[in-house]
Amino acid sequence: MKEVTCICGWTCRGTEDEVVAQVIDHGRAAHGIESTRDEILAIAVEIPMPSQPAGAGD
Amino acid sequence: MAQLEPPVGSTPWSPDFVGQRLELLMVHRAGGEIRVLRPVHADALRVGWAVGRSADEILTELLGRYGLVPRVLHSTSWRHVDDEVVLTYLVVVDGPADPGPHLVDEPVGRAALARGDATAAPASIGIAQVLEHALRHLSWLIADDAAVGAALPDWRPLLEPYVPEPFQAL
Ligand SMILES: [Zn+2]
Repeated sequence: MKEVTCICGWTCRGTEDEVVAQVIDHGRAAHGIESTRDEILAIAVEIPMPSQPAGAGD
Repeated sequence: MAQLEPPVGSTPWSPDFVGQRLELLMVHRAGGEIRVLRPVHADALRVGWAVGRSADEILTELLGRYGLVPRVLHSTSWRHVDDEVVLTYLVVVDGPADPGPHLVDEPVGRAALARGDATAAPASIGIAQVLEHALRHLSWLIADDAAVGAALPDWRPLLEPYVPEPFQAL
């Protein structure tokens, strides 16, 4: 999972695709800028998936 | 063409332990009024706390992103938000001539504080209550801490209505 916190305070978390889509939308709507997938992934912070409790899914 | 600005936080976190986040509330004086600068798309700035860096360093750097310089920067409270502990800092800055495109400049209203019981935190705490407590703590500091008092002589009358309170869990 990834996280991006914009300088305007807006923040999003999700999968790589979700974060890219949200940041592109936010950049256009809030700041009038176009951003590429590579630019977004370069600034996104890696956050691990929540870990499964022991025995989950057995 | 305008480019995406670098993010304000770059600290990864883990779901395997309670994470900590730094929260920054920015206030300034305009005449006889206390005003708050908040990010246009959030109620406060929150960033991760990287190992090996002091909170003061991270937050001073963050302020620099908005062209602001701290006069006083102090931790004022902590609370749980979702799965994280949020450590709140209040910073007093000189009022910007222009808050810029990323901040909103608003008057500070008074808020009743959220109170828990003897063994539990309040069920819900709004940012107005966090700021109310932060200003009460600044009111305590300005009388108790010589460095804060010397840095903010012009704030004494503004803080008179605020009951002094120590650093605490909200
Ligand atoms: Zn933004």
